This record gives sequence, C-alpha cells and structure tokens, in this order.
Amino acid sequence: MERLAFWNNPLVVSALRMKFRRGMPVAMTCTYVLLLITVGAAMYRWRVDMAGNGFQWDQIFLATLAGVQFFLAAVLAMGATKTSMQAEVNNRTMDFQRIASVSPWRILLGKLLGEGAYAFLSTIATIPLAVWLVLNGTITPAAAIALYVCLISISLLAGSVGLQVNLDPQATKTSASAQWVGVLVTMPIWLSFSMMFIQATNPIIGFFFSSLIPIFVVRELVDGTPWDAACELFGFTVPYLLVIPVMHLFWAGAFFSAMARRLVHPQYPPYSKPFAYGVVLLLDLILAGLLFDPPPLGSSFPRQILTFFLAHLFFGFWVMVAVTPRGEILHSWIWRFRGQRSWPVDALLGPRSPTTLSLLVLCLTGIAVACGALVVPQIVWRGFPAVRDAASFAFMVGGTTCLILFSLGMLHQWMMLVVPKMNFAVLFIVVILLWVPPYLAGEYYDHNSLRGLSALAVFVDWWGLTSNTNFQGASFGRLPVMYLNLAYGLILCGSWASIRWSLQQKSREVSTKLQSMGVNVAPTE
Amino acid sequence: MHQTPPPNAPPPMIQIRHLRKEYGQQVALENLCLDIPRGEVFGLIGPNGAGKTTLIRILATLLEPTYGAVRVDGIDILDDPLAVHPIISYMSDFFSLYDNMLVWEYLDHFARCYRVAPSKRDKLIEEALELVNLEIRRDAEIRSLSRGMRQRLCFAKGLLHEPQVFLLDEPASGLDPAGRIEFRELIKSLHGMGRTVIISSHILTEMADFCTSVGIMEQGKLVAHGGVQEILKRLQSDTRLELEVAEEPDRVAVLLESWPGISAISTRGRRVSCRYSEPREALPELHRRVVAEGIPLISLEVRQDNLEDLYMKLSKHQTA
Repeated sequence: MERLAFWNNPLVVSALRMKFRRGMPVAMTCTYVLLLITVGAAMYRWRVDMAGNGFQWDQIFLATLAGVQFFLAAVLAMGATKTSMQAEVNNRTMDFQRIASVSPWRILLGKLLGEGAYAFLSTIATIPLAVWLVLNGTITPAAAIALYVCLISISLLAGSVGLQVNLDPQATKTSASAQWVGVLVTMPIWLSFSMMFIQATNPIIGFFFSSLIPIFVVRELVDGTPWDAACELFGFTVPYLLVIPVMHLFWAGAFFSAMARRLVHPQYPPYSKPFAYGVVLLLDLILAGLLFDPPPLGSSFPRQILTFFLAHLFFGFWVMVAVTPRGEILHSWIWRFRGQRSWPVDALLGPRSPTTLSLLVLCLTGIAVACGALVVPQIVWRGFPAVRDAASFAFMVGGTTCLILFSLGMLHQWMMLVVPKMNFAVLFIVVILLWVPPYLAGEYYDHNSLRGLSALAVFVDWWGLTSNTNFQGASFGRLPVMYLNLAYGLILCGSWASIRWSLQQKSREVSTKLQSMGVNVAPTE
Repeated sequence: MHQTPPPNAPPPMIQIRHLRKEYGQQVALENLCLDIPRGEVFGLIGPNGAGKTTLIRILATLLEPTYGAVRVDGIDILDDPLAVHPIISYMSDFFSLYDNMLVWEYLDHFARCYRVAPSKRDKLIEEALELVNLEIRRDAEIRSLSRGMRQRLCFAKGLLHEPQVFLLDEPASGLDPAGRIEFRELIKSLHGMGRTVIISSHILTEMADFCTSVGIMEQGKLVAHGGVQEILKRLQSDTRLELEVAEEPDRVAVLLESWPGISAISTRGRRVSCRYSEPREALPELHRRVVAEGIPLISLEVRQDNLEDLYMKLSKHQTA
C-alpha cells in the first residue's frame, strides 16, 4: 500500500513543488478552461445553424471537450515523462535515483504522476464543464464518470509509454525538445492509423484500436449515446466506456513493469517469463472472447480458428521479443546461474535462461485457449461432427502458426546470443525477408511451391479460403503447406542446434576461466 | 590476495571475491579479491581504464559483475541490491544535479528518497549544508552554483542518510586547489566519524594524505594493496639521493657508480640522482667522500618514495 501513497512520493513532491514555484499549473489550467469556454460559447452562438444540420450544440461541445482532452492528456503525459526520464539518463541523475532507498516502482510512479501532472490537472480542470453538461442533461452522470475514468487511464497509459527509455547514456542523447517533437509527430500518425483500423470490419483489429483510442466513444458522444460504442466479449455486449480503462491499465501495467524491471537490471529483457505467460494468456482469452459468438450469428468455425491463431502469432511474437534475454544476460547466466536451479524450473521461470521452453509454453497457451474457449463451445452448440470436419484444417492452422512462432523465437534467441548489439529491427527485417520475397517470386513465376515457402502467402490463401462461409475445413488451400512447415522446421532445428553449440562452447570457456581463477566448478555438460 | 582475518575480528565492511567484469571481449576486472575493514579510507589508484570506475559502480549496484561475490556490511549486493542502498553513498566524477531545484529542495528530495523521518529532515539538511559550507546558498537555484559548490552539494546529499560506506569515483577532479583542500578535510572528517570510504583518483599525492590503505589497479587487476605506510615500507630500501653540485656532475656520477648500494644513476644539469639501498647510517661516509674528492657539493637530499613512485614501480606504468 505504501508504494501507492503517491502524496508521499519524493518524486511527486519535488515535481509539483517546482511546477507550483513557477506558478505554471494555475496559469495553464485557467487558460485552457477559458479556451474551452470560448469554444463552447461560439458553439452556443451558432446553435441554430448546428441544429439545422442535425447536431445538438451541447453534444458537439461535449465531444469536442472529450476529444481535445483525450489528445491533450495523452500528449502531455507522454511528453513530460519521456522528457524527464531521458534527461535523467542523459545527465546521469538516474544513477542517484536508482541507488536511493526508493524502489523502482515508486520512482516510476513518481515520474508518472509528478511529471505528468499537467495531464491530470487539465483533466481535473474540465470537471466543472462536465458537471454543467450533466446538469444540462447532455450526458448521464454514469457516462460522465466513465468518461473521466477513461481520461485518467489514457494519461496513465501514455505516461507509462513515455517512461520507456534506454538506461545507457551512451545509447541515446536525444534532447528534451526533440522528445517533445517526437511525441507531437507520432501522436497524430498513431491517431490516423487507429482511425483507419477502427473502420476495419475485423472484430479483433477494431477492438484493440478502439480500446486504446476512444474514437468510437467520442463519435457516439455526438449522438448522445456513449454507451452504444460497444464490443462483444464471450457473447456479452460490453460498452467501450468500461473496456477502455481496463485495457489502458493492462497496457500501462505492461509498460510500467517492463521499465521497473529495467531499473533494477538494465540488461534484463522487458518481461519476466511468468509475466509473459500471463500476458499471452490474457490476450488469448480476449481474442477468444471476441471470436466467441454462438450460432447462428457466428462466422465459420475455420475462420474463427484462423483469426485466433493469426492474432496469437502476432501477440506471441511481440511477447517472445520482450522475453528473450540478450547475449550479455545469457553469458551472465552461464557464469553465475547455470545449474543453480533444476533445468525445467530455470528454463520456465529463470530470468536469464534461454527461451526454448518458454516459447513452447507460449505456443501451448494458444492451443489450450483455442481448445477451451473456441472448440469446446462449438462442440456444445453445433455438435461434434461440425467440428470434426474442420479438425484437420484447425490442426494445420494451429500447428503451422505455433511452429512459426517457435522457430522465429529460437532464431531470435540465437541472433541475440551471437550478435551482441542485436535488436528487434534486425529480426523484423529477417521476417520480412522470409515472408515477402518468396511470395513475390511465387507470384512472378506463378509457382505454388515458391509461394508455399512464404508464411504471408499461405495466410492470405487461408484467409481467402475461409472467406467462404460454407467452407467447413475440408481442404488446406491451394498452397503446399508442407514446404512452409519444412522450412520453419529447419530454422527451428538449426537455431536450436546453434544455440546449444554456442552455449556449450561458452560453458567450456567459462569453466576454464573459473579454474584459472581458482574457483571450484562442477564439470559442464 | 585477500588475507584471512584473525579469529573474533569484526567482519570486513566490504568483501569482494573472484570479481570479474567483461565488456564483450574486453576484461575490465579480473579475479579481484579484496577485504576492506570498517572505518578504512581505501584509495584506488590506477591509470585510466584500470577498472577503478567499474569496481566502484559494481559496489554501488549500478553495474552487474560477470562473476564473483560482493558483500557490503554482510549483504550480498547481487542477491539483494535494494537492501544495500541505505548503507552506501555514491559520487562520481561525472555528476549532474537537478539544475532547476533550489539547494534545500535538492537535499529535501533525497532526504525523502532515503526515508529520513520528517522530524529529523530539516535538522539533517541544515547540518549537511553547514558541513559543506553551503548554508548561505540554501535558497539559491542549483544552476547558479560553481562546480566546486555543486560538488559539495552532491557530497552533502550523500551524507543525509548517514551511510556507512562512501564510494567516491574521482571526486576531486575539476576542483580548484582550494576546493581540493576543502574536499580533503571532508574526507578526513568522514574518517573521524568512522565511515568506510573508497575513493579512486590518479592524483596520488592527495591520496597519501587521507587514505589509510590503498589498492593499486592495473588492467583490471589489483597489483598490490595494503596500508599506505606498509606499502611504502616495502620500498624503504629504495631511498633516493639527489646531489646538487656547483660543477663537474660527471665526477659525482663516477664516484657514485663505485659506491655500494647505489643504482639507477641519472644526471640532469648539475643534479645527480640515484637509488640507495644501504642503511641511512652509512650516508655521512658518502658525504665525507664527495667533499674529500674536492667536488663542490651544494646539497645532498635524501628522499623517500611516495605513492606516485610506488605506483610507477609496482605497475611498471602500463596503461590499460
């Protein structure tokens, strides 16, 4: 509980003390509220014209207020925390913070609430306007409260994103103004992408963007029906006003815990293995909840399975990157930790051990959730024969996507081990090279075997196949999936063997060094 | 390299075993073993790149070693880094403060960070400011302070939580002579308070003044360590002689060559210097002989080796 007591957090106290010493918060919030009132007054002035166009001025004002405040809160929170964290790293004051008796959790909470104070203050400053709109009947009290919870949660999420910095002062030397420009440029781009994807008919893409950027809600505010912006989860209609804060806090927690971990051990991967399992499980359950729709409304079962595993591959890939230890951490594992715990425990939970077993867990989690939350309900509602027809297709989709995830994870681990300065961008380029050239070559030569080597081509083929609602999973598409599985099987085996060989080499080298240092060591395998 | 402590001796404040740190292929620290008793002012001496900063950053829990064990006041800093933070204070050569804070705000910030009780906070801040002679700048903005003042403020911050161990990495670099003298006094006062201080520097003449023991580092290894006097005593046999003559320094050199215990003779202008390994009691005879030879002797100076000489001798002046 103590770590949540933000009013005693030294970073919050100092940040607010400095801000108030300059008198900025009062001046800024007053100016901001006056601007909003001016906008409201202008709308009131042209209320008749607006009514003529089918709009209520007060609803438009509410939507404007919410939209501006969402954007402003996100920009202020992200910009302020990002700038402050980067300045601490550049000036090396972060070292003093790290070794003070303040836990990483409290340091980050202090930064989030103290530096991002303007985001929260600007939100609080608009409350009188919201109260007036409630009294005016523009919005119900419950919806207004939910809206303000969303505004707070978006500040927390944006602030948590801003907390992410590389703790190596040599790595980046971005100035504060450049950080602000970065935030101001990326925010509209992100918003534009989100608006584009929110329009997508796919429930998963729509959900993940709508639950981050509350554009749906703001749009519904114009019509005076904020609760109508909703999604379907396990057959229940859940308004985005309730989903958004939960999802914001979920993502904020993921970013926050990654940085807290980095403050203790800067070289650690962002996520611990148990945390990664939890994230994947939760995301898979959300995916299943979005795809879960009882007949007769639902799309075809093969399409559900395909959508689930493609999304699982996407999220699994992201989590896999976040859990893979760098070469330096693997080396320290060999030097100091190898053999201290039993192999399965270390492989499954150890923060420094290679990711082989963890990747298996990520894959099995997807399969288990698909079986429990998609296959079993289908059997209950449609009967076993309906599922049996699609079993081979589902098996192929699940097996192939999990094999791709597993082999890319192993490849990434191998690259991390042998290339000291490896980062995610290199893996991304490798994936592009694996996916796009065979596809293009296959299209150019009109050769299915070439196309079949590209995961992208196979997914596109399957997507087309399952677009037909009558498709019951009786075929595997026109491309030979075996080539794809063979290729990724080779990547998997090659990466696994290389990792094992590299680790053994390093172990022998370490044993020799330890013996020369006069340390008694157990013989390595 | 570490010595076995006598029975019933208090455990050392800092215990380092088989410490190794690699940066890629480069070995920054190699198999370092060291015990530093409580209340010691331990000087780390070595050229740039010898591994001093790496060692201090590992002790400060800012850097993780590749291998080895480090205990500070009995706490394993690798197992429980957060538990060590209240008992250590760290200051580096490159330091920065929050420029837009006031001096007292800065100290108050860190007093809160170190969970100093609110009832004691103001008193401790005043005491720390007094100790570093910054009480008149209490309400000044940090950006207006000189480098020396900033350094002292940083030092004052390190005093607030009454730590047992001070880790100071080149703390006097960039200070003017007056600042250095003030800083030396601060270290002495810490020693008087019974605190353990580890300080790295390559200004060896200063280190000899306040260090109770030193460790000489070279290419990641601890070449020698022990009490300053103890290490200097090792070189007692190597007294240096400097003779200044009015003319004919070569004659002095020839005479010295035949004298027992004389080595490493060098001539510079009218000065001749050499190493002397015989007892000091035999020096009057040398003096008489020089005068008897009719050499116009102006002075004969007997010099003991200092830390600088000791460092050059032990490390053979290899740069890492």
